[in-house]
Amino acid sequence: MKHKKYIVGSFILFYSVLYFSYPYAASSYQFESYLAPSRMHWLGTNSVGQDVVALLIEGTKWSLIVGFVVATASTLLSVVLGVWSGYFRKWDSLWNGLANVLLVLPNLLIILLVIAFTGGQYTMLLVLMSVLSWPAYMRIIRAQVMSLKEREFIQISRQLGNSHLYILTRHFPAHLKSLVQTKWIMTFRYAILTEAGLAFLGLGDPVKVTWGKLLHDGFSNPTIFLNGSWTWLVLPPVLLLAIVTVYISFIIEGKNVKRTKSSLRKEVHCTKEAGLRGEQITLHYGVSKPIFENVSLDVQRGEIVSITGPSGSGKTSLARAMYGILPVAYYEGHGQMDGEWTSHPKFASAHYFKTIAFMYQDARAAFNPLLPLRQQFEELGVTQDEMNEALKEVQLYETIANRYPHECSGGMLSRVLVALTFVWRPHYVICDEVTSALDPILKKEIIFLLQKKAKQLNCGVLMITHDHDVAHAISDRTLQMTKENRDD
Amino acid sequence: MKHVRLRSYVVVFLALILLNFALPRMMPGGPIDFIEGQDSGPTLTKEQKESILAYYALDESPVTQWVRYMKGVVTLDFGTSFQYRQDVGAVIREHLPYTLSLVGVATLISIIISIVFGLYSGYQAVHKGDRVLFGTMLVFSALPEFLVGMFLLITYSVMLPIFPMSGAATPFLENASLLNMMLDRIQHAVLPITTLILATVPSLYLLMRNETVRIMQAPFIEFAQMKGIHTRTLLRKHVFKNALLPVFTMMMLRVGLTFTGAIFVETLFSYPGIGKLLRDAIVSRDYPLMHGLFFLFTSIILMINLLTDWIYPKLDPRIRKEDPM
Amino acid sequence: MKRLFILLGLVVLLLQACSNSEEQESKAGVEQTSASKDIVKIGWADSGFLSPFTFGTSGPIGFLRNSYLFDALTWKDDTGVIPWLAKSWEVSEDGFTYTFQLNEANFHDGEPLTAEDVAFSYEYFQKHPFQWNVDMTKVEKAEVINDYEVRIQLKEPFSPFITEIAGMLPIIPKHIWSAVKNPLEYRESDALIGSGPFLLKHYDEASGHYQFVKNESFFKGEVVIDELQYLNVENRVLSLQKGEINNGMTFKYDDVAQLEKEGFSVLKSEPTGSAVRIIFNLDHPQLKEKQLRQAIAHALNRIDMSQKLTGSKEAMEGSSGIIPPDSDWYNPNVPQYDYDVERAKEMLTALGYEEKLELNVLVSSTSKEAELMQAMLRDIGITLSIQTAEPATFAALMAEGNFDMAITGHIGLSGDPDFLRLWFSGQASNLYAGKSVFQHEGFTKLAEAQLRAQDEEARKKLVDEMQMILGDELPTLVLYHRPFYHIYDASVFDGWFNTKGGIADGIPLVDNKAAFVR
Repeated sequence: MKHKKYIVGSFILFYSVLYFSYPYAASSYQFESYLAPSRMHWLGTNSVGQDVVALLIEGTKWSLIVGFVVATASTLLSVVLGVWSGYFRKWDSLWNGLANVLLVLPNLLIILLVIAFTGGQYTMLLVLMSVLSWPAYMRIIRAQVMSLKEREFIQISRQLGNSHLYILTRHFPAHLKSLVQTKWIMTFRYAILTEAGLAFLGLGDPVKVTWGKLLHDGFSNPTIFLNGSWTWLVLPPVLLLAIVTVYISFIIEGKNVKRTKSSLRKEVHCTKEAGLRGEQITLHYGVSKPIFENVSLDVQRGEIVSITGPSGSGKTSLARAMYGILPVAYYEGHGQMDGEWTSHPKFASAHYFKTIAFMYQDARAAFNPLLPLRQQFEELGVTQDEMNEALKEVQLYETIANRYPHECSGGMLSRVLVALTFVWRPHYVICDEVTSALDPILKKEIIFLLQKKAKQLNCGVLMITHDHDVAHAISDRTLQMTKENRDD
Repeated sequence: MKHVRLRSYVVVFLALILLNFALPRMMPGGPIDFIEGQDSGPTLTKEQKESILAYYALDESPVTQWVRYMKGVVTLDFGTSFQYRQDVGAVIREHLPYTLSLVGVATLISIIISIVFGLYSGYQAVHKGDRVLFGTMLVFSALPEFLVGMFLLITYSVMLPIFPMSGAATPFLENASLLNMMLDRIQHAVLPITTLILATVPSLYLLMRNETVRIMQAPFIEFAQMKGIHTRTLLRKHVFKNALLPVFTMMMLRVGLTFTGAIFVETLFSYPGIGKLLRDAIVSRDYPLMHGLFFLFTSIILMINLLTDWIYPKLDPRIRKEDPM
Repeated sequence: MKRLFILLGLVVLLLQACSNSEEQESKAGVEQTSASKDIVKIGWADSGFLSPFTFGTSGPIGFLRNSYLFDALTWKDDTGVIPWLAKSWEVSEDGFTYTFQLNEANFHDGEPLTAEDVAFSYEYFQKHPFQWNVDMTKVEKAEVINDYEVRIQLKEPFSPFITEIAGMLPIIPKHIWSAVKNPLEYRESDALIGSGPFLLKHYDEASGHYQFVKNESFFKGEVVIDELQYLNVENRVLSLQKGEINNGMTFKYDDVAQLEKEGFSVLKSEPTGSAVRIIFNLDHPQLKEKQLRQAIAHALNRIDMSQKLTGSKEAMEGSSGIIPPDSDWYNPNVPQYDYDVERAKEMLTALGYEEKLELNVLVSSTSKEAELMQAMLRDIGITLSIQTAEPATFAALMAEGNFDMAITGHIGLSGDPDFLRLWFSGQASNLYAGKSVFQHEGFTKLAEAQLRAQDEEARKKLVDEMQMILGDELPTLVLYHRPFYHIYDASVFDGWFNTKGGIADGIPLVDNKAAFVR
């Protein structure tokens, strides 16, 4: 999509050259009917003796005008009404209600009805489509504006005495730009397609030549499919329509898709040493400048090792790399556990949570919101009794298992997470910032639990934390990572 | 919350019922004009016109007509269709099954296809990329329904005579076995259903895919992967359920759209459903039939919305708690 | 979820099964039945329940299908008017009384059809109007003379009575309809009991297909086919080519040429009996000048138009006197308006239109005629805007006189010329003139006089004069006469013919029941 400008530009150039230099007019009926393509008529003539290329030039013009006008008008409506009801909250219920009603009613039905009234004049169609197509994005913009309005920088700007107009013109455009662009392009496509559909059914403006009208004329005479003349009467408008709309679709999707690199194949030779080890790990995320280089460390059973460091130093990624969950394309070196490579495809099903477990940083985010906790235990393959036992050990009632995550407090969830981590009695546990989101009392409690569990099971624990106090309090060893020339 | 919702539905419904009466009568020309406006139609004498008007009860005052109409809405009896000269209910009953089966089967298949492909594609997008499937679907999403239908018709019916061109069944199949008759019906429905599916799948697929991509980046998915859960279980239990939520609302809206989208398809394949009936009713100013059909359409769409509001909490436990039934 | 997958699997299996096996099976089935039965299949649209009070009137096919079930006193074939239910008839000197002697016929339910039924029908239709163009106000009463003789008394002499009333009004069984108070709502199966050559075996309301079977004891002779089907297909040309139907009508010569190549036979309607024409709003401030209307006639290349729109070289330019050149009633001396742009410009200048003149034209569907007109009128400096309206809106705008020009198509112009009177007198519902009735004293007198004319010769003279007036005044301009092409598979049925003067009131189709009776 980088070449967007060039593609659109060359299309416009090509079209205008053709528009101003093609010798025949679409309104001229002077030629023989059904001439085959020739040097005189590049795409032949139709049933009433019009030159097909001339018709295509004319049709392209009017079809694109539909797109431009409707997209612009409808986008304006969405933005104005969205800001109006989202920012000023005036008449909000009116606009929002109207949008709801329009969203519920099937557009096509309304268009068909109004056309029955008015005979499908071109300008009427433009107005109709503009009026019908604003609600969906108006609501999105409204929601966006409402949330922006509550943001700190807007509040501050307001307190500094800036006018609404200043705020709206200064702060909002940047945040709404991509939304507005998407809306415009999508409506452009919608308008062209809808007009083509209506004209195809014979409901469009009879006088304006558009792609849809050309198709209508073509298909109203089925013999062209029996004698081959469809290749120049029907195929060109179909292709034009398809190419333009498909191209637009790719632009829209291109805006919100980032491509990830495919994974590399990697050969790893593991040493036979025991313990959870990181071997010569260099983290570079697939880009050239590494975040850290050649880090090696090991954790033996029964010891607690902490890694501290500021955020952005890559400690969390290091933990993930050692656990074998980070895509191997992001780093060099490898993680191993008791002589087995952790990124090996079979490692996960054989060892995860059985011999090695990962305690997630945020208990609230770690659980699937749509499944009761019981199921999130059961999918590990634990029995009812084992689960109850594990919950009891963290001082929780068995009934909590029937709850959904949102029905539990943060403390409960953290304890459930501890229970889940240790349910299979793993040999090694990696804890990733497990205390960062907790209040001091809870933090203490969870750390205590962790320590107790690790002792009890003779576990090797790798703690990732930015909290030096915690690290010093419980660790046998502490490793420090520093941030180099990075500021995010 | 619930109350407000329900009340707004009632308001919308009442407004639509009023519109339903007024709109057809506001259109220029009436049923008689339609008969006269035909090329090669008959010339009507004054007596003929008057008898028709009296028969249609259009010589009554608007108020009487309104009362009659409201009575019809309450008792679900909209009177006699002008064009078919038969009870509106009977006319609709004759055509409704065709549309229901068309839309029903097409929606079901579309939903399955778009969910399965969307899920798969979204998963692949995060890992390896899914350019072929994604690109194909993008192309289809950009093609208008009528073109797809026309293409299918020309290719698979005219050029390669595999499927019949039009209608819902071979007319007057005599002494055919029940199985053959069923097969005949299915054969007639293949092209229209395929068209509807091709028109519905891409947008649902794209939504499902994007939601899948979004959910795949959620922490609980990473955590589930850390738990060593098998990919299939991961997709089914964790990704699918969460991605379905926004897609579900969209899907239900699509069903309403598919009903009107059926107008195109039914016209193209002369399939005797209610979409085609509606077009004819509008053109011929068949007021009672229009009333009946509009009523049906608005009821279906509002019902679908109500149903969505009712099912949604069942899918999302978080809402269930905030909004007790 | 699992259940859904199983369902999907089933559907896929079924689809496969049907695409593999179904084709051979269904083909075999069709061949079997067609070997034992003669079935003619015609493609045409739905026209509702076929009782004489409910058949659809958008187009002539409802009437024609009704005529398969019900008979009138007279009928027409390729030779003109023939006796049908009536064996013979006499007209009184003053033209007021017609006496008919009847054939011995039976209704489908076995009851005999007698003079009682004829008299009953004439009275019943005076109370409950017939759907198609029959003007019952002309009839005073019907009297039974004996079982097989009936006398019909008119209010005034009506020269086309034999074709326009006796040849169209169906005779319905008294023993059924005398008990029916509201015939428009009567939809029992005995509402379809007539005396005609076919019985309606099945009407598929949803699809609009009809299945007629032969009447084994038809009074007029043997019915030569076993079954007649009308199928409501979307595209007649493609359906013909696929063998779904074996008779289909088209206006387009391109279709004809293509299908002739593929071995189909073609019957062109002769006389054409149809016209595509412009109706001028005679109350319009500019168009009320007949010179302007004539200038427009000169400016339109109607030959080119007809060639392009029908695709045929043998085009028929519209006659200025409306009656097509191939009709018996045509007056060859009507004024001609050749394509002559210079002449048209001169006439406009003479009228003082130095500046641009703006007019609009109303059409009821996407109309190529209007587009061509727009281009042709541009050459003489008239800007034409095109307004489309679907049929009901179209008729409403016409009735309000809210138009400058309008384009419509008609059939029935080769039948009895009384339609000229109806179109321009404002007597019958006058869509065709809107509120701007053609006010011309001479024409009105002639129109009245031809009704009372006693012999053909005298009537022809009057009609000739009417055409001269129309040709000069141009209240309407016929663009071209459009032939109907019936494309059919001769191996299935080859007995089609053109009815002289058109079926009944001049319908130029081949769906004449007389074709199926030997």
